[in-house]
Amino acid sequence: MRCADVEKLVHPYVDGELVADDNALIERHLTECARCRALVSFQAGFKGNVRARLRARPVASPEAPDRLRAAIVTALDRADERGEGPVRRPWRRLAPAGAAVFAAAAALTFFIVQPSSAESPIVDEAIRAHEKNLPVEIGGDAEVVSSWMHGKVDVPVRPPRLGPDAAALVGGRVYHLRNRDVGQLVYRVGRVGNPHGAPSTSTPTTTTTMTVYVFDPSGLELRGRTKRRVGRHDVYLAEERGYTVALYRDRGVGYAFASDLGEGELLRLLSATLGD
Amino acid sequence: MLGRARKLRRDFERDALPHMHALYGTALRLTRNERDAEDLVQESFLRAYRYWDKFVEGTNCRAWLFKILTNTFITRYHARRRDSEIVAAVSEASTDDILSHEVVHASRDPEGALASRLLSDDVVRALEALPAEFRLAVLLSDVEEFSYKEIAEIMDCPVGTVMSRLFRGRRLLQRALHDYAVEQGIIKPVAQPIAPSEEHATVTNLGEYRKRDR
Repeated sequence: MRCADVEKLVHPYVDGELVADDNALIERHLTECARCRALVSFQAGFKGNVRARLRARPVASPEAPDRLRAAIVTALDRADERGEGPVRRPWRRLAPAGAAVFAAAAALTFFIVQPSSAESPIVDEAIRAHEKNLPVEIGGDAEVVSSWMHGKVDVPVRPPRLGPDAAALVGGRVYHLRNRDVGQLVYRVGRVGNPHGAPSTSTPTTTTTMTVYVFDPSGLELRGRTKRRVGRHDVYLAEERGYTVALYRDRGVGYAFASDLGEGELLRLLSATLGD
Repeated sequence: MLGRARKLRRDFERDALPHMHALYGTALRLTRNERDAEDLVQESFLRAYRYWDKFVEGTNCRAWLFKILTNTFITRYHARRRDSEIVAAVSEASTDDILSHEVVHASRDPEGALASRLLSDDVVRALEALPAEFRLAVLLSDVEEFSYKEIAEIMDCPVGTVMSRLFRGRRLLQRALHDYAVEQGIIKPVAQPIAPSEEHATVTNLGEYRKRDR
């Protein structure tokens, strides 16, 4: 074995990936060659020191691991509730009459949730992100949130005005969606009547959260199962797992609305911000 | 919850969750920021949980989790197009140049102590400057101590590609740390590289190489 061979094999040697014969040959060469001895101990030492340095470094902020673990456990709980864990349940919150029919059909279907090919991948990501229910990083009105977002996201983030009675802006944070940083806005929305039945009165009895993503739409296709015209905008709608998502483009900026509101309620909100 | 569902959940917390810390450390170096790293790890665990019934108990859980982390990272964070430009640029840099420096570094620093004389922040900075594929190979091998075969499964590429990415990644890291050390006055710059021996190509196929030598 010559020096050139040792130079070529030093990495797998130091990683213990060579067979015994090769190891023996290298070790024999090392007893006779100071230059290669230095090369081998350099690589081995460097590898060990890099590991030591990276492991010694405190992992981000001290409360991060606990926070992360809590978030994971919560996500696992939610998955169990929804029957989306390893044991999947086919039925969700359906009226009793429908459950039997649905269960029979579901027994024949493939359980793993796949986004429909007619929809943008944004729809699925927006719903997953909405479900995570991540806390806002900045709270306040549209102006406060908008200026906080400046520089953190590629496009200006102007929180849509959804009408003072219908929805209230809670705050925002930055999220990572479809390979880019996007502005995430959280709204509290009043819903009319009982969500599980026909509307009874016009007084809101419950509220729900809505998440709005504001992003640079370049390279993304906005598509949905249906398309509606609101004011001068084409709005794409999709429904999945009990959520409704609306997508549209306004002055070169992309918007995605995700919530468990029905299509009608969502369109009513959108006409407040998009209507003429 | 059904008895079986309860057991699966318990097993998951017992067998998979303990790897959170290692996954988080790797996610931090991959995404380069705390918030994205948390999201990445959370999403990875959720995916792992969804496929937990498919995971065969007793097989390599840690490697399986890292594979899910890698796939999730590539899908959500890794702009492939941009990276291939960087990799092309790195390939253009002379391999001869890097190897000759390696030999010189070794002669002046036979313990590889350079990495320990710089701050952890410098090592992290140099690592995070590497293209994602090289960075991941170095993390999986040098920090998480997976074998080449395991890394190949995690990164879904041939062992030869793993070796290529790992060796180049290490060399780039060594060069970067050497430059930082010179900047900080810890060492004097190298005046003249010693002439390396003939043939500088990195070995990436040990089987082929052995056959040739016989």
